[in-house]
Amino acid sequence: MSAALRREQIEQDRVHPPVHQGELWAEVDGRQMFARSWTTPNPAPRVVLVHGLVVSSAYFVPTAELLAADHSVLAPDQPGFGRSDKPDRTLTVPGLAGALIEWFSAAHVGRATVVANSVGCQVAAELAMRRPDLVERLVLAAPTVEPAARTVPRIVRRWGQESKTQSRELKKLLLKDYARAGVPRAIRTLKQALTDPIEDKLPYVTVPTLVVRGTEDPICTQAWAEEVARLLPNGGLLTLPGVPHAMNFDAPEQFVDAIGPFLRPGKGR
Amino acid sequence: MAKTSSGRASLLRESAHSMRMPTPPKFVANFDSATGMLRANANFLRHTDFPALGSPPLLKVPASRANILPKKARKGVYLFSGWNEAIPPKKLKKVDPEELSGWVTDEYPDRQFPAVAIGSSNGAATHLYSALGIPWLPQTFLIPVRQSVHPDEPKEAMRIGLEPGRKLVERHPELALHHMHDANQDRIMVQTMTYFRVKRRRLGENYRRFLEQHLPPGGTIIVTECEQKWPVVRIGDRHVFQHGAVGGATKEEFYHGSDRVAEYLERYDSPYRKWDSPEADEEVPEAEWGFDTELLDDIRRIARERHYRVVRMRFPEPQAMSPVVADLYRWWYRERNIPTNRMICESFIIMEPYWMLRTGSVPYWMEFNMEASLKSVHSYLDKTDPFDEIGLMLFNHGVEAVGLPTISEWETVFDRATKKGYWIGADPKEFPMDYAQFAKYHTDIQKIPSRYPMPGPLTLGQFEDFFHRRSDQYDVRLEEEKPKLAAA
Amino acid sequence: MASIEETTGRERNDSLRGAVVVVTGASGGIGSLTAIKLAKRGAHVAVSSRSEDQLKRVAAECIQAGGSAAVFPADVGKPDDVQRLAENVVDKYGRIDVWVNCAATALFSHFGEEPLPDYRRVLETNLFGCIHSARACIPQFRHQGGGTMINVVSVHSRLPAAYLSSYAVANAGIRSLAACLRSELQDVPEVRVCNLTAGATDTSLFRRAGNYTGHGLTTRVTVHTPEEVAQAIVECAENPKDEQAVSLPPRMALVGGTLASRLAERKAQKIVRAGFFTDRPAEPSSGNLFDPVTQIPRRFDEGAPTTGSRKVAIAASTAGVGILAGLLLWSRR
Repeated sequence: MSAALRREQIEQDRVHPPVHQGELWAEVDGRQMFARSWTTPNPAPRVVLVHGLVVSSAYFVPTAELLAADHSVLAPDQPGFGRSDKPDRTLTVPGLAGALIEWFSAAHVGRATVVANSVGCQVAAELAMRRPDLVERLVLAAPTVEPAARTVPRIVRRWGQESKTQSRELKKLLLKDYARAGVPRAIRTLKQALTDPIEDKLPYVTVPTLVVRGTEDPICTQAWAEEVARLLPNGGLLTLPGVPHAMNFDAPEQFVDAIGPFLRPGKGR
Repeated sequence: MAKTSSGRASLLRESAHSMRMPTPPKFVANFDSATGMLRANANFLRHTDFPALGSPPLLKVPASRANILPKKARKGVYLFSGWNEAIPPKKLKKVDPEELSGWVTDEYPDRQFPAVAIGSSNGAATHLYSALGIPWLPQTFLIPVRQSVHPDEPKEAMRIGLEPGRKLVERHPELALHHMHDANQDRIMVQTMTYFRVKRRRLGENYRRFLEQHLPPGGTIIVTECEQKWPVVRIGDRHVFQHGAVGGATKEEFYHGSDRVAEYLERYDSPYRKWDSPEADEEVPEAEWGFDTELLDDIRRIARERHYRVVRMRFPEPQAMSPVVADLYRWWYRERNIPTNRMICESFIIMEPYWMLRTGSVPYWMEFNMEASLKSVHSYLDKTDPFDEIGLMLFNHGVEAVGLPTISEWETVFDRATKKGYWIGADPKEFPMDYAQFAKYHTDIQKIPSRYPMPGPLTLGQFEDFFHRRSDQYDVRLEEEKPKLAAA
Repeated sequence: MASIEETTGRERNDSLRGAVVVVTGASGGIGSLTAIKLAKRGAHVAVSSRSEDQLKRVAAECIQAGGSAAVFPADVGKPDDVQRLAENVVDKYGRIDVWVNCAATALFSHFGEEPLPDYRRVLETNLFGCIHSARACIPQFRHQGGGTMINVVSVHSRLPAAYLSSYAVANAGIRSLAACLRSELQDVPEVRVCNLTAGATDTSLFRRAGNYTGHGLTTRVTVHTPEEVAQAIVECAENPKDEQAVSLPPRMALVGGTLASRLAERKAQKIVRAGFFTDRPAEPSSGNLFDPVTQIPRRFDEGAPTTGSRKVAIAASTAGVGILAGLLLWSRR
């Protein structure tokens, strides 16, 4: 390789260091929890990605790879999902948040920016409410569950509409995750999500929070996203045109671009 | 809404309903303050009433026929059903506090509540919970353990319980054991079993999960703290032996005897004239009613995390709650322009939150059926506007114990009514062995003609306002805890 | 010299252009939208309610929509207020062509458990509001030789409403008032008194209602949007009909209520509870009965599925009437 090319390569590596996707296992409540991790050689602020209903960290990979340029990223599989051990009982939303709190400690995460999608927003809201010391900043992407949709038939109808906005790759990934979790757990977790009153928690989430909603999202309506932002004492709302519910997989560049300034306030990109 | 329980069709309907209901673990006593009051409260919240102390309706018919049996046979029946409840000491390893708390939480309907009560059993407080429409999570439960000991040998009872008790507390660091022996009121039962009363010192997973799912942030935890104490023998860090219980005989009498005790023991053909009681070391929360403040740690922790208000409702003895709850109901009926002016005295777990409200009656709960209870009714009536009607229900425990008033002494309560007084579901000449009462209280209370619509709940704010405007009249304190800063 | 027709100033082809329309309850969901629609059609709208600030907002929206509006605060429960309202409108515009009664309040309670002044207040605002309005505008209409009064009434003018009797009683009274007035006004056929019946509408009427039930309230089932009702009012103003329903469901409900009144009574408790009560407790409150309360933010668990419930309402009403008609025919044999 010529010297010029090599200098360019070194410069590239300096500006965009190569990212390493690794695995992280930690014990929580006597069970193993799996997490995908992207570490950079340079110290970087931490981001924890919280996945949604019955899925796993797998669908966060495109977002994680983009964030990994400037952050140290961890994407855990919540207990019962993905590659993490399954607890005997389906965990409630507060239970999942409790598990994540323990995981923060078991995995030595320290303080992090938490980015959540869909039902993960409910888990993240509970986490931020209980332990604001662990959460530097919070991003709620496509928060659920809107009160008008809190019965099984209504949420299933919206889910049906949402699946039309999913890419084929996402559908394949989701099916794999659902199969891994199993139908009984999926149904029970859905029921837990439907009865979890996120609106009662939001007023206690004091950390700076950004709500993000895509205009192609039938599960999270514009009015609901505005309500969520309004209930937060320290909240703002970003609406992304043309972006679907699972923006972290199907519109990762737009998503990461949009939240960039919020993640690094004061620094230009 | 609950229908009246006459008619075979409705009996069958009730059976079907209760067959779907969760059953308590085998190691816990069914006819005890905690289970009884829990069921009364849970039934109320599920919009049903409380027939036959919560037992399945098919048993109600035989129970109401119990008085046909001669007294001796009746004692046998009561004894047998008690023995059936008790578990052999080797089965104590099956005791699982989480199974117990799982059953408790399963009893309640699946919705959000503005508040949840946790702590001591208390009948008056149970009516408060119905008024507020909130669930109650008990701290204390009774595990009856099979034992063969002469009732008047408390030292022997204590000795036999040492090993099983020690094993139990070792296996469960979250429990405190109050091993109880009362040869006065419980004379019949203690012939074949001894009372292990366990108190939770930790919320545990199921109670915690219940709070997370049903009490949203901003809600209130009411801690029901009965400060009744009793002298005990300290056996271990979390293991005490309590001789005697709240009711007829006093602490003094249990530990040191009296003329009344001697007379009672003679009457029951005992070889003893006083109980050979172990010496007490200290006073601790009473086994059945007292609140163990260790539980406050866990309550405060979850309150901090989930932004709950904690309100401590503290009172010196179980009866102390009765006047304030009775006055609350009276005030509430007046606000609703209800003209009925009736008080119904309940006893131990003979209680009916649902029919109280439907008939527009003021509940006055008595801790048991002894002197102290009778005195407290009169003392309440001394301080309050007279009632037109007074109804009376008494728990029947089968023993003419020390401190048990006679029927004519009980009937002095009726003299306080300006229009009429009456027994509810009782056959007074059979007292205290009127076991049919266990089923008939429920059908009889429905014979009271008044009917009012079930009101919506009182808010916690309404109760607190009511209380704070009159707090100097009552021996109860409502203390809101100031929130501490969240853990850094 | 101007002809008599010319001095009336309103185009006589039944359009609303130039018509003078009074709307009471103009701060509310239906009233405000009605005012704006009327203004868009070129009417001069006199908006009235207890709340001057809200009225100014509504008037501003009317003007922005290209119309004309003016503010006349009044409490329809007070006869002097209503008299003054009518006089002021005539002073300003010279006449009144249409008077729309939208002012309404409600009260939830187990009958007898509410304070009597609250119960009475509902009747004063709703029923006496219409009576005071009729006393003010009918003479004016007689003087003019023409005019239309439109009452917006609920299906509960004929259907029993458990826990809501003050509201139902007032509405039943209004319905009867219109019929009686029509009998007396036969000598002036150009004076019209119309009842426009609407089913449950998605407004804040019930959210601001007095509440002594102890239950938190919500509105789960609505049949109309406020726009639909406002549109029906405007059409009635243009083309008055004595008895009208906003759409098929309320019409069915009225028929059903008459034919199956016993059934309606038996089901009323369940229907009202299912439609309005929540599990949350609520402090006793007189709502906006005595004080016009500023807009209560809607709780986000109050999703009102309008489309679905309309279908259900149509289906249920049609089925109900069908069965009853069948029974009636069968019983005749």
